[in-house]
Amino acid sequence: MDFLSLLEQGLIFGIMAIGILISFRILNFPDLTVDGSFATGAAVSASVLMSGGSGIMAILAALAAGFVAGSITGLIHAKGKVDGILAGILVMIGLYSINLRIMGKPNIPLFAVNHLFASKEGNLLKIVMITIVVKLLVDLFLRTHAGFVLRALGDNSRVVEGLGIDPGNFKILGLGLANGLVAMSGGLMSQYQGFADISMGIGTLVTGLASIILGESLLKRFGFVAITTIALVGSFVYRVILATALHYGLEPSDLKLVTAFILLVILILEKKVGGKYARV
Amino acid sequence: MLEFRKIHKSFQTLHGEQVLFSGLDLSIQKNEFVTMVGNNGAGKSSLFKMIVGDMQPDDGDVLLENQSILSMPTHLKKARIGKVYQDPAAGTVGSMTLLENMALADRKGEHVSLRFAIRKSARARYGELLKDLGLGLENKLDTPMRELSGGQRQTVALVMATMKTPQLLLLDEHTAALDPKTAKLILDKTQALVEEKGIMTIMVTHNLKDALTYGNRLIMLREGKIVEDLKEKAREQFSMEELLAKFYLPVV
Repeated sequence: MDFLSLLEQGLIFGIMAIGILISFRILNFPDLTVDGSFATGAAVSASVLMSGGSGIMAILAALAAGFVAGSITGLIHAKGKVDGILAGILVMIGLYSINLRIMGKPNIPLFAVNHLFASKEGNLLKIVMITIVVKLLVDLFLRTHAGFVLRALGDNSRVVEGLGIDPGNFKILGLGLANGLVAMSGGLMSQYQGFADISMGIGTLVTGLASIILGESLLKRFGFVAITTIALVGSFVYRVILATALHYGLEPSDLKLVTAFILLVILILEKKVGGKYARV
Repeated sequence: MLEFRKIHKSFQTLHGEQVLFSGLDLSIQKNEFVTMVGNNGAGKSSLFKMIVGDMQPDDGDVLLENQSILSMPTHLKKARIGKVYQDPAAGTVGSMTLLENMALADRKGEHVSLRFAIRKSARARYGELLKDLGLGLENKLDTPMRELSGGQRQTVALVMATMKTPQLLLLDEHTAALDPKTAKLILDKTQALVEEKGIMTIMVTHNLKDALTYGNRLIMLREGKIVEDLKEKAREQFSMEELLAKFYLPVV
């Protein structure tokens, strides 16, 4: 596997990692919805493309669909008072059926339709541009009043309530945003690999977490680094590690186990070292 | 004005029904700084809980500025109330900087929007505000709150709770977790802030000396009843000995 395609994949999955950063790190909410919403993004993107939409339309539709999926998890948790992990699992399972409905079959090949990466040229430039736009928009958002409220909410919801703000509404907004980005990443990935598959989302949360924690371990020595940068760098490094594992003879089907193992090792090391980021 | 009208509240216990309040009436005027004392179970926390909506009375009403607040959604109620907790970590966001915390408090009551949270003039303005406290906090604007000491955090919590002058300020043993020197510092700041802004305030404390030193009205609760309510002259003439004797009166 060459360096450029690793970079391309790292950036596409990096958008997913930014989404998980919002739910897991900022909202302090381990959100399993993402295992469903990543595939939802792919499914929605594929169906938009199949009905003649453009590649950009397809990923914007994926973003919207992911936002709705995340909001539903937020609604179940905030208004229905269901435990966060359980709310995510419920929506993830529900999404499996919905994704199949959207796609109509478990796999849609996209080789015959026009999309963002239909011609093999200029892919890296397109991916870099999309990723940078997403990263900058998220950076800007986190500096707004609404962004501050989200950051405060994950850390100390009493302060948020004390400010006269309904914490529930902002949990819903935050989870919507997080899953919107995850679904957008799923939509991009399906175009990049040329097909959408119902099983695409499996392991999304763990992959995202591994990327975030890798990014944090690598970048925390540099003082203040934007968290979106952490997600993107971590996502790329994670792809390099997976490619290395494949190079040394592991099968692609072993990669989930490798991911789980990498995450486990980092988590234990962080707890042992008592790292600043050992908040899992 | 804050009013409790004919409050009734009882709890189910293993030994049957236990009555806490049976028709409690209490009204607190604007410009009153009430210090509230009483043993555990006297009903201090229950009164606070009824104000912020964590507990509903069986009967009666709670009014803030002549408006019943019992059925108001919690966050709307809290928009009008400032509260400082016993735990210094509770009133501020640890992972955000002092500047960011101040900016959040500065926007209390505003519709949450996509405007940048920190106004251009903010840094200078907060700097001035913090400088007046004399703790050197104006040099820590970019420090995450969790890296500040308990006393510093509690001072910031107090400043944040009063930044947008609330209709009512609730202080829930807000110096109990601090060393005596820091506690005194914060109590002095509290008194100064409350007087300067003329905020109606209730301070719950277990320290009888503080209860007599600070504020301008002292209320002692026992078993859900007001057993002492001292204002002005009566409060000035009340001695620590009398207060202690009253506080430790054997329960009949």
